This record gives sequence, structure tokens and C-alpha cells, in this order.
Amino acid sequence: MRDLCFDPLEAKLTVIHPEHPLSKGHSGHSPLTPFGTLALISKNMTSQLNSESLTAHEEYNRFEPPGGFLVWIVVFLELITFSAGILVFMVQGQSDPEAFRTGRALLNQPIALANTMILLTGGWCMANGISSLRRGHQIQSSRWIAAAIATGLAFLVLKAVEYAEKISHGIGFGDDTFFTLYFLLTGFHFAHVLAAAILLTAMWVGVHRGRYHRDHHLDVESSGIFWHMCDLIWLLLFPVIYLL
Amino acid sequence: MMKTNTWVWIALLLLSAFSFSIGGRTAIGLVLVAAGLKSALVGRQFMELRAAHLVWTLALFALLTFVLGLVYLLGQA
Repeated sequence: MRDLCFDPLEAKLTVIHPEHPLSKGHSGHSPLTPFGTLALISKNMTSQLNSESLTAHEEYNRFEPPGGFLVWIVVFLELITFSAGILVFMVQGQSDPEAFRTGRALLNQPIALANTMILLTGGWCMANGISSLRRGHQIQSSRWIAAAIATGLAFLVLKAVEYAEKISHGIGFGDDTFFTLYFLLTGFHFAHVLAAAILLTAMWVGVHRGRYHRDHHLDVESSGIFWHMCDLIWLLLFPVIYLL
Repeated sequence: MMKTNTWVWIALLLLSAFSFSIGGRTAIGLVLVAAGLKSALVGRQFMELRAAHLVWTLALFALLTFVLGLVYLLGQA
């Protein structure tokens, strides 16, 4: 309960404390006047709440996942969205198994395997990049992040090759249920990898210029979590679309 | 830490190669178990859930198990 309410309290205090005339303490009013008494009460409450919020903040940090709450909310929402798409894909596969069997036979499985390996390698590079940054090795970290960006670009190029292959065979979005869902799911994932690669590029620039270092790297961690989320989603899409 | 990352990465590549080699409707269970294992490794090691409160690990694994379980049931039908 305490950890949940510390932030609003702290926010309220920052509004009341510096701006409110009562917060100036003894400067404007005698402690014996009603305003002075209020000022003292306000001051005492402020210090009490500040010390309480500090304890709450420690609890909050212990509970906070790596990269912060916000990115994990994004991770769960994205996983739920993709899971819904995957389940629709499976249900549609039940209603038209022949179209799905034919569709799967037309997919390029070796490229999909290569893409899986590439994304996992990117995840490894990013994990090492964050690990290096935490130890204060900025140059090493920027190299790992650059390698992760390279794997992201390689994934995008291979995926574009796969799409071009389909289009050259006259297969497009909306041709049948299988390929409509295939393009929807993999295209949506493609957009996420592209966004993650852009994010990582911004992080790489930040690490390279010294903006992110051992003591300040939450943004890099959050971007890393987003990057790994792309891995996680692909690990669900790969068997469902290509292997089953 | 980086050494553990490397071992996990090798395990992930091997699991991917394994699921690719056995892919098909007959091995649906194994393929999904491999996908679950890979997701667990990425979540625990790369996303560093091992350092976070257990609630986060449980929430992520519950969601993944639910989805992979439904995929398995739909695939078997």
C-alpha cells in the first residue's frame, strides 16, 4: 500500500512545499498566529512524509523490474496482442487446413531459421552491451550495441527478401487467409524490429557520446527490454507460422 | 555475467536448430516446449527477470504457458 502511494505524495509535496506561502516556514508568520501554526504543521508533515516516502521509494525500487515499469507494461500488452493474433492464426488453420498446409509449404523455412538465429544473436549482443555499460566499459558497450543494431538490420533485410520472394510469385496480402495473417503478423513484428533498431541506434549514439554511462543507463535498459521483446514475439511466431 | 549470456545464447541457437529439425505436426509438443524453453531463457537471462521480483517472472511465464498451451490444444484438434 505504502509503495503505491509514495509518488502522488511526493508530487503533492513538491507542489505545496516550494510554492505555497505557508511553506516559507517562520519567515512570514509568527508560530503563535493561525498562519504560523499552520506553517509549522505543514513543515512537520513535510519532513515526516518525506522520510516515509524515502522508505517507500526503496520498496518501489526493489519491486521495479529492469528497465522500469513502463516498458514492461508495453511488453505485456504487445505479448497479449501478438498472442491474440497467433490464436486467430491457429483457429483459422482449423477451419481451412488445406490452405494453411499449402501456404506453409510456400514459405522459406531456412530464411526463417536464419532470422531466428540472427535475432537471438542480437539479444545476446544487447545483453552484453548493457552488462558492459554497468561495469563502466562504454566503448565495449557501444560495440555490442552496434552489433545488436547490425543483427536487427540483417533481420529486416532477410525479411524483405522473403517478402519480395512472395510478391514475385504473385502472393500478396489478402490472397487467402493464411497469407493475410502471415503478412499481418510478420509485418507487425517487422515494424517492431524496425522501431527497436531505431531505438538502439539512439542508445548507441548516447553511449558513444557519453550521455549514458555506469550510473545513468535506464534508457538503454528499457530499449534493451524492448529489443528482447521482439525476440520473444518471434520465438512464438516462428514455430506457429513456419514449423507446425 | 557475459559468460552466462554466451552459454544461454548457445543453448538458444541449439534449441532453435533442434525445433527446426523436428518441425511438423507430429512433433508439435516438442516444438512448443522448445519455444517455451527459449522464451524462458530470454526472459530470465537477457531480460534480467532473475534480478527482479518473482512476480514479474511468474506473470511472464503464466502468459507464455497460457498461449503455448492454447496453441498446443488447437494444433492437436
